[in-house]
Amino acid sequence: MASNGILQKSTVQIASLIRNGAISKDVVARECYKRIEEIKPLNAFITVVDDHTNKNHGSTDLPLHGVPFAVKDNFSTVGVRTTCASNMLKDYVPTFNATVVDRLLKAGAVMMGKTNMDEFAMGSGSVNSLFGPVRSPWLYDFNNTDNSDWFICGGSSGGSAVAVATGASYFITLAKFYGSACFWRVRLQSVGLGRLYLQPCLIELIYINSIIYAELCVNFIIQHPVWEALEFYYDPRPYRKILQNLAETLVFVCAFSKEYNVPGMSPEVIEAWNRTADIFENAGARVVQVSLPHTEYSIPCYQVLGAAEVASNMARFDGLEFGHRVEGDYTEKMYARSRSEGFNETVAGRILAGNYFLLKSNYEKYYEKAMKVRRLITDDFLNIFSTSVDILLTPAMVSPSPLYSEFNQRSNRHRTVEHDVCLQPVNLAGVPAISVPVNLSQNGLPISMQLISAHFNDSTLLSTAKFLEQSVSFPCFKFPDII
Amino acid sequence: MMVNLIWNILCTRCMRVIANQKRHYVSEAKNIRVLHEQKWLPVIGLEVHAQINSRTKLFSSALNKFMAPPNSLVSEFDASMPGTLPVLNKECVRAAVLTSLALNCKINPRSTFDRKHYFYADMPHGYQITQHWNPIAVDGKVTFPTLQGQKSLRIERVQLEQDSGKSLHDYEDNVSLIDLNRAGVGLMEIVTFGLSNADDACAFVNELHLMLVTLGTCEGKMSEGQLRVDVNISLHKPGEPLGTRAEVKNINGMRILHQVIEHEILRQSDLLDHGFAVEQETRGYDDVNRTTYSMRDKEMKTDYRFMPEPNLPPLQLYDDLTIHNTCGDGINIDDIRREIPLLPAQLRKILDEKYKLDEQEIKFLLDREMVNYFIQVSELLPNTPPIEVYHWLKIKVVALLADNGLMMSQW
Repeated sequence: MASNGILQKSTVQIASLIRNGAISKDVVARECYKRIEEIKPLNAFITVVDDHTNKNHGSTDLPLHGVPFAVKDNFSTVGVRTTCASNMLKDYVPTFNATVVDRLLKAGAVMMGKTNMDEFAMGSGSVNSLFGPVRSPWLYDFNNTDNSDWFICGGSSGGSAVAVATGASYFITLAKFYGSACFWRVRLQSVGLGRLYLQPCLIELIYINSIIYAELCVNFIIQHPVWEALEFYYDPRPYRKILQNLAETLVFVCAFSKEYNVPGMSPEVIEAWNRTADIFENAGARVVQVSLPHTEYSIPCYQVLGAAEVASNMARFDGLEFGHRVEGDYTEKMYARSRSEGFNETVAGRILAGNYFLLKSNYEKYYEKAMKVRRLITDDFLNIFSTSVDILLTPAMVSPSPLYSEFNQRSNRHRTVEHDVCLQPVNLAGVPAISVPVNLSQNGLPISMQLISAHFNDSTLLSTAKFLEQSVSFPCFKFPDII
Repeated sequence: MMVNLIWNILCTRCMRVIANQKRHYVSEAKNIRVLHEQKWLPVIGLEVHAQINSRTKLFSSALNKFMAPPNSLVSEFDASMPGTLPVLNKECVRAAVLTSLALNCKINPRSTFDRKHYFYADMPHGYQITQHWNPIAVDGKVTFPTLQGQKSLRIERVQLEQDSGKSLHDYEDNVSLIDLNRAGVGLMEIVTFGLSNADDACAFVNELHLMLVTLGTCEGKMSEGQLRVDVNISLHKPGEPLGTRAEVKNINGMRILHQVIEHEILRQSDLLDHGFAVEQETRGYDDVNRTTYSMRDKEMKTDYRFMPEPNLPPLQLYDDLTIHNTCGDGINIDDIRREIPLLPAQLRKILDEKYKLDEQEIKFLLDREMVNYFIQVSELLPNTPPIEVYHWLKIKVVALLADNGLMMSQW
């Protein structure tokens, strides 16, 4: 079987092939390692886990036995350095596994490595990494690795997206910023990559390469103690039920939102948006236009809440217990030096802004106000989902991926404004959402749509996405036969 | 008869002389004018930090123990490793509810946690998780005995929060050593306001100490830092608004608390008498010279940049009427209310009315946690006068404990 063949199987397919003995897990791992080597110029991996470390002899009946996966480098992994793409954690080796990593390993999956990202997940292009920018495989000239320019792959989880898109891994865990708030899922996915991206309600986020796979993932990670402690207990059963249903049974109302038609949205994206709505309408869904009037406040609202949380969460990086440390004559000096050297400009800027918003004299003016705005944004979603709308359909990005040279002209803050505009409200409201690639742009870059459902209605979301995935038969990235 | 009378008069006089001398000594030594008691009214607020007597820490499964080898009781969360999250300890919540009920507080069925930020080497997260906006209980009242009879004090709030670690500074070698064993241990912060002198403040802390020990929610060993007091003091004239307050933190002894308050009242009244303003600040206490001093510390005017703790959902408590709404693992305030043991005030009443002990005798038994034992023994010996049981306890049992180096709780 050619490597494209093996590596383009879905997670469920490859898991069952390994389980049936049709293919050995060593062969699968070897193909993945080979692919990781081939995509080296894309800079998707920060750390590749040694082949020998992966010789686990877990039981072959485990659901993910032998299935390679990769982990975004802000997830703790025992004995494997976890850098957050930052100088601050360049040599940090955790002593514990993140819950999701632990569950996946126990399910028999094989960790290939840790993927590149924006430093501390702050960015929307995966270009602000200590280890250099990540490059999109789409339209990339693998025969000429001196490419001076390339398309960016979105962020902050670009490395993860590239790994899945090129077949270097079957699925990826990414998500929550370290120790972060419930609202702060993930920022911006690499929608440019033609892979699905799911933001489940109240659970960590996972890159998936097939809808069916979502069921597996969700069931592995669902019982996190924090979620259990939440007032809402999330029941994983609907996933099993709905994922067995096929798209034919789909009857629902799908809505457009005019607020998502932001200035600067590319005509190709608008066209794809209309076409996707037609697909749903032709399948029997009623498509209506709805209004989410507070959408435009989402970015400033996020910038205040996000920066405040960054300022607070990052206070732990003082060079004392772990992380980068520069000695100083006294403690405060040591803090200042370690932190100045440890963080890039974006991170330092957000810390500064966040501390400003949290000052006693500013708290009411900024933080409290932003929390109120966040409530209004959430209410927008609650309102439309209470009026018999099941699914909200929006573009994922305003345009197909830009070139690195174009993207890099903008400051990080401006990029966020331009690129997160469709995805941010979902993060603030905590509603489940998924991005599905629907077609290629004229010059051959993927365009994705975002589907959003009500809180805890992930099952409708997934079955809708599955229907869409089947309807558009998107041409997934094929690794070119090179050299 | 005559001799006796003269002797008595002499004695009183002697004592007066001694008292006068003492005051004279203080005034002279400090070159501070004697307080004009009618002129300035002191207002004293206390924040008592009581370490919760729980097996593990407030948000982690690391053990809560004193005198373990340094940094041997530290979980990944306590060391603020990235990616760790707090999990609230139910035992600590129960202790806070029990204590709050005993302090006649109103329990908030829904309280929340917040972050209080400051950089300190023994606070790994860079913030303390506390309850700034919605504490677990508010608005209580405690009655406590003083030399002038019973007094009562309003409890403003009881809040759950994390303790910090410990720093050891070696100034000779210019190094600081950090022990995180205490970092993250549960504290109940009990906030009061409106005391007016050092004697009352100490009498209140004494009573609170007795209550906590009786409840078992705090072991109350001040020498081990299990009960620490922050005191704030301001002076104002009757009928005028409250003055600027100065604060002294982390007092871990009753004697020091008394001295700090006395000294601050003198210092502030002296400033005000001479037309100076009292600065709002945190002051340290110099035990050798018995004075407080300005810390001139960067910490002094810290803006704590409070924000809601995003990793902890609101803490929901239930009562008999609402407990059925939970999956059975909720905390029922009414259940805890039914577990409140006899408190010092009630024990005093019993010892006074039923066993006819006097104030000194009662205090002796209470201070040594001997009341329950006394009652048990008295009940076993109905024909023995209680005062004999008392004397037997006071002489024999106390000696026996002392010989074996034991506390009554270890009996």
